[in-house]
Amino acid sequence: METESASDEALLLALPDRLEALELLYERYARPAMGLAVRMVGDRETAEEVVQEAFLSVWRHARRYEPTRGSVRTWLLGIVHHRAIDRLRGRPPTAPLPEELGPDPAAPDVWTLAAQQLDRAAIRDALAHLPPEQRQAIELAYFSGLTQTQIAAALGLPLGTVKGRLRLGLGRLRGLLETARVGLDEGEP
Amino acid sequence: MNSSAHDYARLAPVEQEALEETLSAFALGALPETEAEDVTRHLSACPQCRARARALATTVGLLAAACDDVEPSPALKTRLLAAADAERRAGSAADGQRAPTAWGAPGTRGGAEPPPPPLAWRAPGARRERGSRWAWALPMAALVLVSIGLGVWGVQLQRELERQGEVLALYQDARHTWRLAGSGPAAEATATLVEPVAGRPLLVTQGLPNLPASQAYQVWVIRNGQPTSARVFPAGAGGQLVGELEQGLQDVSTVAVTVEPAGGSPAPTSPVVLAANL
Repeated sequence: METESASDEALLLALPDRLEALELLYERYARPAMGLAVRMVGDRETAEEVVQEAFLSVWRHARRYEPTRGSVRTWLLGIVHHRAIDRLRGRPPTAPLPEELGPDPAAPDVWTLAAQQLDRAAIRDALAHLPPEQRQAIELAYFSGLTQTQIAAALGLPLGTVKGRLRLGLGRLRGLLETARVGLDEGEP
Repeated sequence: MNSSAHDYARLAPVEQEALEETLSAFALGALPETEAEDVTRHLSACPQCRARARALATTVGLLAAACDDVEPSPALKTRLLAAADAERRAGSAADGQRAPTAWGAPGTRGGAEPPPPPLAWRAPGARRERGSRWAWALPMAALVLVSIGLGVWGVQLQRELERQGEVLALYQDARHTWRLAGSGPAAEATATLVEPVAGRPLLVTQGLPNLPASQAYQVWVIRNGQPTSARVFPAGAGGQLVGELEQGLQDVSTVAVTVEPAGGSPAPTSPVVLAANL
């Protein structure tokens, strides 16, 4: 394996036999993983535990990665998110990863491919353009790990209102991100 | 949400909206656990909802990228690689071992035909080899396992962390270690038994299936074919458990773990899920 230049997918395939493949994945993604974990659990020490648990899950379950669902980066950060939620909800870090949903399509859909082109600035920009109440509901769910019932209680809102905000917010976010993608393409020479 | 597939073309707008709300909350992880399980079941049977759920998950997945990068401490990489390395060594060495999987002598076993119990169960007093082949992996493996295992139980986290220093000091100087191999529903699980020079033996498990709150993992030590309880783990706990045994390993031929009712049983009532001959 040409380690330094190996693709993320090739590195995953080398797990769990090759420790240096894990090391390279860590070098590539430890910083965004820590960024997400710190944002979610609040302190660096707990965040490092979360990140370690997440990379160990990747090490053990590399074969579960499905390329048609998105990039290795997205998959890995999804595992970090799951492990951070475990922490926030007081579950042991060994709780199973999200179950397989069922057979995957043979190829990634247009949205999955488009999403891989988006950079941090575009995502932040889209979030900033969400109506504040929708952004707040989404952030409480995703980053704080609250259930929709807990969000309703925290904000003193009816559950139905929160459900509506999550739905509308995600829909709007996708719309904004698709526009961002179009803008990106048009901006290229 | 039931288990039959939806036909989106026949759904009223208000029904579609309700469905989209459920799938949005699911994608964000904002459903209570039981509802999320219902949705997971439904998705396995409903291709249209599955496609919707995937698209929503893609949008949600982008949120992770909105955070600023944070530089981890250099020690994190060392800890991660040491933990992975310890697991790899443990996994490859455990392959060659056959673990006891059932209680009693041949003939008393059930219809599942597990492998015969090891000789040591019927011929107690099997000689213990000093300096097992695991000794070389210590103290690093034990340290790593202990530090992974500590903090597993949320409410006990702080207390466990405070104990960590003492525990590490105690087990740094291990006299023996043994690997316990998983079987049956815990075939993927492993465990390490550490016998320190002074103090009680420590058992560190990995990958034990989580149990319902009505059940607990119980550790047994077998002397002269007689199992006695050495530890009952908290009800419902699984995964990475760390616990001292309540007795030493003098004359013990086998250490085994079974699933018992919460609080433990006076004698094992179910097949062995983890075991090693000492």
